[in-house]
Amino acid sequence: MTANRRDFLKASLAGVGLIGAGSGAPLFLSRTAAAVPAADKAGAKDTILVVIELTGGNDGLNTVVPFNDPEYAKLRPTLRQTPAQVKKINDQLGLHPSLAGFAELLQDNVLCIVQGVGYPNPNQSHFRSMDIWQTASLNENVSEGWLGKALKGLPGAPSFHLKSNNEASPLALEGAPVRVPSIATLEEFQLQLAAASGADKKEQRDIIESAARSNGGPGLLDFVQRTASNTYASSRRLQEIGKNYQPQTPYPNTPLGGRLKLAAQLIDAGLGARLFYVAHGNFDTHATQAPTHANLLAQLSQAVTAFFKDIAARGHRDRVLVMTFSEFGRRAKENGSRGTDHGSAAPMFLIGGKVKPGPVGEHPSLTQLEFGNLKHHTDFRQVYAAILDRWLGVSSKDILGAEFSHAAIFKS
Amino acid sequence: MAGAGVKNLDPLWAWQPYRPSTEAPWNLPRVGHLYRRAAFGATYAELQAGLKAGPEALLDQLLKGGPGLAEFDAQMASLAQSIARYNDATHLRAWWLARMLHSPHPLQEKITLFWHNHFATSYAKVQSARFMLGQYELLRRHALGRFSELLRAMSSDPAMLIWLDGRDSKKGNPNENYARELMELFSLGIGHYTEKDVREAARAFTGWEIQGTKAVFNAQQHDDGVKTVLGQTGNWNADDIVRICLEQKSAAPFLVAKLYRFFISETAAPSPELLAPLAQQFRNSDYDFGALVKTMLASNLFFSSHAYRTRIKSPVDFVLNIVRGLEGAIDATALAQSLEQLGQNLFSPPSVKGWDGGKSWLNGQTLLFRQNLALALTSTEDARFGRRCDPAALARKYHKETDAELVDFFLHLFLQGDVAAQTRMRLLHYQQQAHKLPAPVYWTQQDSADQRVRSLCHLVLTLPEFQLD
Amino acid sequence: MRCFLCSVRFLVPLTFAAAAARAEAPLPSKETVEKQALERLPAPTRLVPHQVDLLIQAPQPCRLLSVLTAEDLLKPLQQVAPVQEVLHSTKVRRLGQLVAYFEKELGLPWPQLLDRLAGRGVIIGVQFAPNPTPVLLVVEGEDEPLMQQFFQLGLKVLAQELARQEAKDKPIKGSYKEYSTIRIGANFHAAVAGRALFLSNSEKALHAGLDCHRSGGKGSMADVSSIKEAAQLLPPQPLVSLWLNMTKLRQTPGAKAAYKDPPYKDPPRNDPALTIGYGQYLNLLGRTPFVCAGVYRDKAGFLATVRTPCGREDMGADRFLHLPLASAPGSRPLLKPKNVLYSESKYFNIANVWKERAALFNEKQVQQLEQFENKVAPFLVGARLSKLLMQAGPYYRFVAVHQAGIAYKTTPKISLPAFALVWELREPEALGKSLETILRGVALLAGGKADLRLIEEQYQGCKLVGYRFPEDRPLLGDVYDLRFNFTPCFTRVGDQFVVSSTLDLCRELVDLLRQEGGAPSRGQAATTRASLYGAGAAAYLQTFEDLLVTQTALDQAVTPKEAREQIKALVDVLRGVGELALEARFHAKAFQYDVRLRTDFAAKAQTVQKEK
Repeated sequence: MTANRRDFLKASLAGVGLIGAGSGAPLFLSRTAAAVPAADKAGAKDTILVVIELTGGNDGLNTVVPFNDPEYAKLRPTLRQTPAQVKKINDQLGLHPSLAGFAELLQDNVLCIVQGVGYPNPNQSHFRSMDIWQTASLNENVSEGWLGKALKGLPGAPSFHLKSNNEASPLALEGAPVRVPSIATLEEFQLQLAAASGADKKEQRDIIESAARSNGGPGLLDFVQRTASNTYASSRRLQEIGKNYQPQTPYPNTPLGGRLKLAAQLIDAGLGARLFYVAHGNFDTHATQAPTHANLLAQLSQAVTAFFKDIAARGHRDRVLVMTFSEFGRRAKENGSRGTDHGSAAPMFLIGGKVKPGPVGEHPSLTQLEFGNLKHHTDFRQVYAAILDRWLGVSSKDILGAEFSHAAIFKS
Repeated sequence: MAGAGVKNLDPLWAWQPYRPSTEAPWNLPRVGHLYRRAAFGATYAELQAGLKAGPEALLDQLLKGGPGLAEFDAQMASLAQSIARYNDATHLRAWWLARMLHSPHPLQEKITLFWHNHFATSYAKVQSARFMLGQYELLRRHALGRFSELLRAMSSDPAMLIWLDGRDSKKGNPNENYARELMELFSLGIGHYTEKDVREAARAFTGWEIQGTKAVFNAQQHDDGVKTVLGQTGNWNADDIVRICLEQKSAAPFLVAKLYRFFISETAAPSPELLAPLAQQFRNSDYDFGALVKTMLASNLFFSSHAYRTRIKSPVDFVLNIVRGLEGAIDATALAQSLEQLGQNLFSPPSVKGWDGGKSWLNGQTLLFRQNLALALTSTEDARFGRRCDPAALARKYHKETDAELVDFFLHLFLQGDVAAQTRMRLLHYQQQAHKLPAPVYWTQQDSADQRVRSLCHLVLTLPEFQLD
Repeated sequence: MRCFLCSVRFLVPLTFAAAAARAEAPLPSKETVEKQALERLPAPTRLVPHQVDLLIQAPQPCRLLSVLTAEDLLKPLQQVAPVQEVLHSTKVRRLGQLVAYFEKELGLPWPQLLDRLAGRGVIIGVQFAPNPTPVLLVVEGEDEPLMQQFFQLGLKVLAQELARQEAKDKPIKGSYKEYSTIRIGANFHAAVAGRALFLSNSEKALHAGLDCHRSGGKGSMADVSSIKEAAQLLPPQPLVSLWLNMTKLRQTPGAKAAYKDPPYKDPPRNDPALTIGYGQYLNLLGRTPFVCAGVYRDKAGFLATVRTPCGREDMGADRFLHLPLASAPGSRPLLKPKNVLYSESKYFNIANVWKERAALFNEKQVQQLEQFENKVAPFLVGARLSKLLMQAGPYYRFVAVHQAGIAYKTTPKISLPAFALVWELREPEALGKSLETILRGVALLAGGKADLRLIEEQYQGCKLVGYRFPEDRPLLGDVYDLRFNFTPCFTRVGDQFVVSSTLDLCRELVDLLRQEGGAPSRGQAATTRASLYGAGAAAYLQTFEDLLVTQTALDQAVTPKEAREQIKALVDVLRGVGELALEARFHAKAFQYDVRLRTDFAAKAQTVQKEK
């Protein structure tokens, strides 16, 4: 067990005595054989995946910039990033100046950039393309998402959709055996009580927790009591974390920063959570792209860097994988309103202690375009397959419906 | 305890009608138990009346339904029309929840819920409130009728045709989905048919299409050739396949076992010998489900410790037990939405297997949501529910004022007083010393007293015993 | 619940003046003398520091509250079930208990408390600065010892509430010069100075406010000249007024990003849609030093007005599209057919979109416009887009009405309002003919799939050209039979070209337009007028009665019959709303945007009374 969990058990045993003698280890903390993935060297045993959806279609060409390509300047007269501005990856590619944090992560060898990701016959409707990415299927009327299906193979693993207000649960999470909760704040995970005073609240909490103390008998009541005591222990733990959480690096005061901080708190709470899903947007920049795009990328970079550094400082560097995706990239040539229209191929970022750092695959050609859009060379399902098989330890063939060769995103 | 001696139970004794005796008296826990299983919980008055009436009269009433059913049905039907017309998914769920809550015949709704889980069809794919309502009507009509008729009608139900791709099943290109699930999930269970049976049966279900708002049989697209299914050969059509399935020996035990899990116990699997007499009766009566339900609910086994508190309340049970007990006029739409978080979205089961139920209803997250939902319902401070279910108003209605009266009242109402003495003492102690705890200075005496009552009610609802059905 | 003392105050000057006019003046009472002394004290703006960029004040909170709780407003709203539920909710009742507690401890009923504690006004000042944005709330009353009592009591209750919720922060006493201050956490600062209560989320703001109190108003908002200008621009005695420093706002980073590159104040702008839709407002916001607003209650209802000290003078190229010549009316009269839901009348000089394109759009956009003009030429059957635009006039009107009767046998499942666009033509004959040809062509193309049938009709000397959907076949994709809401048609009445979604509406408009006549000066000065009508909205809402009944029955847990009654109450409230009218008017050196709500509840209540 990690130090984290040892402390936690000690605290709960000493403090409240919730865990009765003779009962099994708390539900969240127990690692049943079924839950251990058959993941090989790529990730440690209970690996964590954080998926960040860039809603609206992120302009990949201005995110990972082929600054030396003369075509680039021609295609993007007003929106181009100059060689002096970009954060260089190598002498051909650079990152958008707002992605300073990602540049740092690249220096630390934890950033992987998969270029030219897309799918055949790209669709330019937000809804259809997003459905394709989230169900990992080109068929219509698929009602289960790739992550929901993956969760079928990870029984008992909590997962969370960290939402902003009024955001609906994404299709990617549909089909999970236990519905993935959408939460916005830690308060939703705390045992709420209505009381006349602080002392009253304490009394009520004592009653609730003492009723959950089991005598260790068999039977359904005992099961309920054990589940209850685990729940209250986690709730307490989350309350403590909420009050006392000291991030190892400061998080930016942005909505995405807040959500990733929540993810870090949940990971550190030792709940055994495997999957987090966050959306960030809106990248649909049809007009005056420059300031909006810069702002969104800055938020992304700052939040993800702070999150990763915080998590790494707590010892989870090798367990966590962050993946970003968007429903499509944007048109190679800018439009008349200093913006860009919907496109197709775009890069994906992967951040984690076990990724193969640097760019993977060539930048799509800027001269051989398909209806004005960049041509993809890596199917997004190849990236999914690598993650499903090697990181989460579930069968990608069952989930994606076919075998896809893995994208080379992990260190061997 | 529960589950220990199930394997050695005497089937003869198990299914005989229960008669009150000194070892098994007709007491409040049994009344509550019957109301929980055969309905969605009871009000205080109903518990008292049930105790007086005795098991036969009470069961009779639950089987037949109370007065005012025709009027209630007419009112709900008028609401359903606009839901169907505008394909209103939100109010579709709220509508059924309102039916479950207010119907004079809750047993019928409960059995419909059983069938809904059995034929698990989801709005997520069907995308038509009209068809889902149509299927609901079908299930409800046959809920306590004959299973054979229900199964026959199901092969041409529009919602089912969409859900299991029946409408894409054409001559020469049959779709096996429905045939497979019919055998695996609806009638026989795994292992009692072969792949060839599925393929052949699929040919018999071809030809059904959806035109507008109806399912229509297109003879041109129907494969009327010779098929061999489960050992019988002929020009079978859909009805024939259903007949053949129901003639299999495994059909009756399969369904009886499912109903056993729903009505008697989830903790221990019953032995085949225990279920044999019921299966026999079920099969011989041409699958009279109503009679099967009656036998089970009236039985010794049902009223014994083998069945008492041996299930986990599903989210619907949990929520409706609370609302019925508090005699609240709840906002059904908000309630239906809160059920999603607890894992049971009516009309949208996660897959054709339905909701697994049992222990899978409770995990660290759903249990917490249940406790917080119980708080939202009883505290009167939640914007969704307001003061609709106010425990303080209920206590006033029944004139319960002193601490001991209040503790006993809520334990009585929700748990029929069947908790460890220690629990009762703890609650009483809390209630007594709560008077001394400081309250905000601007609260009136009445407000503080009401707050104490609401907190007490919430504490009772968070007891682990309340999660048991 | 009237504010007795508030009303008395208005009578005082009158009585005094009247008394003084008489030869033997009776001695004024001690109370009146005190009141007069208070009258001479300056306004509470003297307590807010001059760095404030956004100022909101309620100069007479008593009057504001009495208006909000007035019988004729509250009663009809209370009939609506959800409102009733909120009023009886635990939180609202606890608020009532809190007020009752204060009444008991301070020994006065709450209207008097409000008068003594806040009688001189409540004022909020915000400064545009980064986190946290400093906000200062000042409440000035008449009674110094009462204010101290109230403050101490409030702190006591707040401290108890914090303890009850197990919060980390406790009230901490501090001091600033000769004032004692209270701090809770990092974001709550409070102090009492004389008759005034100061609350803020920033310590600096609190200190600045206290400094103003010390200096008797030097260095405060009262000295800022634009405040006085704003007071003169607005009608007297607002319930709530607002003042916003636009110069400062334009300098904040967010606004700068929106206004730079190239400056949005004048065209050409990056997004031509902005110039076409809102050019005049963007220009105004780019020039004006401040914006002020006020909310008023008059006999007819409510008025909210927004004003700026800049007007038509100095407006750049935007005036080509949005401002009429000084002699011409701003917009034509509003059209009000039966069951009208929404009616608007605007000035938009569409001819100048072409004529002045060089001034309004940048090179690229002009190129695109000219290319578009070429591309579209073959579809226009001989006419050119530029010519058409130049022939069109600058006034247009739009109406949406609830259709009481459908022109088909089949009733659509969802009823849609009928709507019509009425455009004035500069060259009626020529343009009218061109438009007719074009629209017929469009109908032929579009109607091909739907099999539209042509109908021509003569009505009051005008030729109506309309189309009907066939009723005997389904239309792909039209699940709710929406097409039976439409019989699209067009016609020309004098210099007005009408395109309408139904023939009935078209005929009504023909009648209204003929009545209106063709005087070139007809209309009003406002360049934009729009109105929403409660009666029309209520009628339209009733077509969804079954949907609303289901929703209400399920949400309120009532029978369908009771739900129907609740819907009826809601519809009555909506009908009582009367009219919501918006109006924008450009003067030479000022601009005003008025939003008027004319309620009809009183009339309803009277009719109900009479019936009884």
